[in-house]
Parts: sequence; structure tokens; C-alpha cells
Amino acid sequence: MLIKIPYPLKKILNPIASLKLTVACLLISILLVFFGTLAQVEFGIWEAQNRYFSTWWVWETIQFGEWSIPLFLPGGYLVGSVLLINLLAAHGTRFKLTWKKSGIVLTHIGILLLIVGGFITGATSHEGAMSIREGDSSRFIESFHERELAVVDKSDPETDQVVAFDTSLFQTGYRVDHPDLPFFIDVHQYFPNSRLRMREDGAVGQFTRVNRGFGQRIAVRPHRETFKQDEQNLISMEAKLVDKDSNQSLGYWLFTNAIVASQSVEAAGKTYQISLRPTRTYVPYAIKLIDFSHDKYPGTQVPVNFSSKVQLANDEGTVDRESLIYMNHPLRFEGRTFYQQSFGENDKLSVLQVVKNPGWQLPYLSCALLALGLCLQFGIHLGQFLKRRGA
Amino acid sequence: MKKKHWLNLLIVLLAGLSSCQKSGVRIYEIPKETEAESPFSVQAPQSESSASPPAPRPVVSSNASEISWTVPEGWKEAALKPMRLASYTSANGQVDISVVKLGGAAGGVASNVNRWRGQVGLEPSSPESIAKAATSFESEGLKGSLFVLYGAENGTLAAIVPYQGMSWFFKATGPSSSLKEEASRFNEWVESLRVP
Repeated sequence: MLIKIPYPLKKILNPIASLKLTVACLLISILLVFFGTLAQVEFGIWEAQNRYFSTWWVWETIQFGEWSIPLFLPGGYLVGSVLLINLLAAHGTRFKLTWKKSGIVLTHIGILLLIVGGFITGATSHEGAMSIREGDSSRFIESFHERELAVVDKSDPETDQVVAFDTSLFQTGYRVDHPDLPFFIDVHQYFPNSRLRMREDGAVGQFTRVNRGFGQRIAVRPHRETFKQDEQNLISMEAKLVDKDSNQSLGYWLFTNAIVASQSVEAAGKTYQISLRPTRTYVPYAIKLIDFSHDKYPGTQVPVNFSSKVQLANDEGTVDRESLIYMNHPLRFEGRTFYQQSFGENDKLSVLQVVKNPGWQLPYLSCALLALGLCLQFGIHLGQFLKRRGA
Repeated sequence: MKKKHWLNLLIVLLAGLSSCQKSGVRIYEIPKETEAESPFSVQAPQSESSASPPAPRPVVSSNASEISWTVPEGWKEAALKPMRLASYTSANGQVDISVVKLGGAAGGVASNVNRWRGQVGLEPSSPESIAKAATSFESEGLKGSLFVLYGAENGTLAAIVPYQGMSWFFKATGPSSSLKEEASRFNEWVESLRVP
């Protein structure tokens, strides 16, 4: 804005700074908001956001009555990036930094911050839950939506080595590998949602090849994927583990998040525990649930208050304190906020919602700048108008 | 022409950016964790050809820390199946009643309830809604949760009682119509639970 841009660079910047591009991006944004809002009916807010906004391209099929219409659009990330570059380029070419235009510049800084804030939130914000039983402590946060296949090497007496694969890596027919593991994971069948029944109850289903672990007793059937907020997908995967050295089979296994348990696999002289679970984020501190209390109005089941008394201690040993978490009184530590979310198991289990969003202040700041910029610009215009009339 | 050229380059650059996604694998080291293994994972057949693994036996503790109960009138003792501590049937023989004791949280309440929901043809539910739908009860110092699951045809009444680090499962399953007749007897049964 302040720098004089040399002519050849200006030639490059001119088309990027084009106002037509701005208008095109704004039009696409309108379409994205329209289709993204419609998609929430079918997919819910989280999935719709992933498919339309937190993505570079949108490639969907829209059901319109009996018609299926393919929809191909630049996604929210792409439109945001182009708008960002477009606005920056415009300031490099068209706009001049003068007192008369200072309001516009301020407004544009606000818009830039809003877009940048969107990217920061998309890339760094994290939401999950920490469940702790009374007397126990926890040091990980479980994702609400993402699942992982965790392979844990338990051979070290001090620490556990974890290799966690995002479930998006698994598809029927794929081989998944990691250099830290002595075996390949060959995915024979992968169901994003499924129903499990015990074979001993007479149930029949797929995954008949499974010959290791609990999966031998379970019949699996595929099921339509759900996006409802109060339902969860039960992923089931039939996988063959193959020893990398000998190329010998380590058996067929059922991995599923429907059963919360890990299964032990012996490979290369080590024991690995494998489980399909909500994606975990470990933190360098532990939170212990000292007491959960759930007060009800006398003689009813209506809760007055529920609260978790916790003890937080970090690994360095520099922090060790107790806090009480209850409605509107979350615990804040190292950029994460712990809210009382839920409870269970006869009030012996407390579930804390954990939110991290380093960019949470940016939208407030950018809105303030936008408002200030617009007021300033209108004020300048008004001043000029009054001056002219007075003259 | 030049204009288009630059626009294309911009789009290609941005498309390239879009492929810079996280690899999907994370490697990390954590302090040793002790995780309760599911009772299901106890067995591990050695040969690949063995199709039906031996069913795990119930853990019958020899000390006196067992839960006992009074069998409601009309229920008949039935043959013990693997893992069961007790088996009954209703007077009409259509409702199957069982007692199973498993270590730790036995995979957690939600996963067990969701498995039962699947067995009676109900959609799985979130842990929060399951916790909300549970009825708490207390009997002689034992605290448990009661779950009532009626599907279109079949249903399950179940009580989960954590006691001394174990989970006790008291369950009745059968056709919904017969099960509704047994509901009061089931509640009576659960209320009779006691420890020495």
C-alpha cells in the first residue's frame, strides 16, 4: 500500500486485482452459502461445513425432486484465498493511501483480518471431549467426529509408542503401511457405518474371514452412513495384517469403534495393541477428577447444578492446582477451555468439552475495524459535503 | 490473453495448495497407559484355521463379594450359557433373563447399550443421549442404571451395576409384548439386588 510497485509487477498485479474477480468471488460465495445451508438439512452443520466451506473444491450431487444435478464449485478456502489475494493486489495497484480514503483502507484491513481469521480457525481450532472417571486422571482429548486406528507399541516399560492412522486412509482394497510398524494393514472391507451382532445369537453377516480377536464372534452388516448430531457412525473394517519380513499373514481382524476395546497383535517379537477409537489429542498435563457432584432439587430428578472438582498437574511439575468446573465456569489452561458438558455412569463419570481456538479474537477485532472504517469514511464524506455547502 | 494467463496460473497455484493436506498419520509417545481390555479379547486362537474360538468362561470369584438377588415368582431356572452366572426364562418361556459379570467397565455403558439397541433393531445413540435415557436406581447400597429398549419386535431390559471394579449385567430379552408383561417382575428383581 505504501510501497511503490515497479511497473512489470504492476502488470502482473492488475488482472489479479481486477474488480470483476472480486464480484465473481462474491457471487460464488453467495452460491456456497445457499447450497451449504441447504446441505445442512441432509448432512448436519459439521459435515456441510466440511463439504462446502472448509474445502478447496465442492463436488456434490444435488437432489432436486427426482433430478440429480451435479454441482461443481470452488470451495470456501479457494474463494477466501482468491479474495484475499485480490484485495491485497488491489491495494498494490488501484488504491492510494490518502487521508480521504483512510476509512476504506481500515475497512479492508478488517475484511483481510476476517478472512485470515477464518483460515486460522479452520487450521488450528480443535474441539473434543475429555471423559474422566472419579479418582482417575486423563491426559487426552477425544474428537467428536474423527476416528483413528491406533497401533500402540507397549514394549517399552516407560512409554507407549503410538502410530495413529486417520480413518480417511482406509478404503476397501487399500494397503496401509507405516515404517514404524512391522506389518502392513490390508483393508479387505471397510464400512463407514455398520451394525454388529453376536454370531452366538444366531446372527449372520459379513466379515466371515475374521479369525483373530473378538471379531470372530461378531457378524457385521453395512449400514447407511448417518450425519445426525445424536447418532454416530459405527465404522467396521475387516483387515488382514501381513508381517513385513516374512510376508506371512498375522490373521484377519475386525476393527470397529462399536466395541471400545483394544486387541493385541504379536509381531516382530513385540506386542501391539490396536483399536479403532475417537481421534485422540494428548496434552502435556493430566487432569484428575477428584469429585463429580450432581445436585438435584429435593425429591425430583431436575438438576440444580453439576460440577467437577479437578486437579490439574503438568508434566514439568510447575503447575499443580485444583479447580471447580461448573456451568459458565470453565477451566482455562494453555489455550484450551474445559467446559462441563455431560456426565454418566451414575455420576461417577464426568465429560468435559474441550475447545481450543487461538483465533477467536480475530472476528471481534475485524468487525470493530470494519465498523470504525465505515464510520470514518462516512464521516470524511459528511465533512466534505458540509464544507462544500458552507462554501 | 495475458490476463487469462495469470488467472490460470493463480488457479493452478491454489489448486496445488489444496493438495497440501495432512498426511493422516500421527506418531507420538505417551507415558505408559493401562487400558482395561475388553473381556472379548481374552481369547486368541493360535492357528489360523480354528474358526470357532473357545468361549471365555465367566470369572467366578471365590470370595464373598458377590451380588445376590431374589428370583421373582414365575421365572424358571434355565441352562447356563457361556459367560453367564445365572439364566432364567419367563413363565411363558419367551423371555430370556441373564446375569453376566465382566471386568472393569466392560467396554463402557454406551457401547454395550448400542450393541443391545442394534440387537433389537434400534439405531445407535450417542453416549450423551444414552446417559440421559438411563434410569438410576439404588438397592441396598448398590447403584445401577436401568435401560429400557423396545424395538419393533424384540426388546431388552437391562441393568448395569458397577461393583468392586466389575460390571454386572442383568438383562431380559424377548419379544416386546412378552417383555412388557415381565417388566414389573424385572424391576422387582433388580430392586432385590444386594451384597453380603
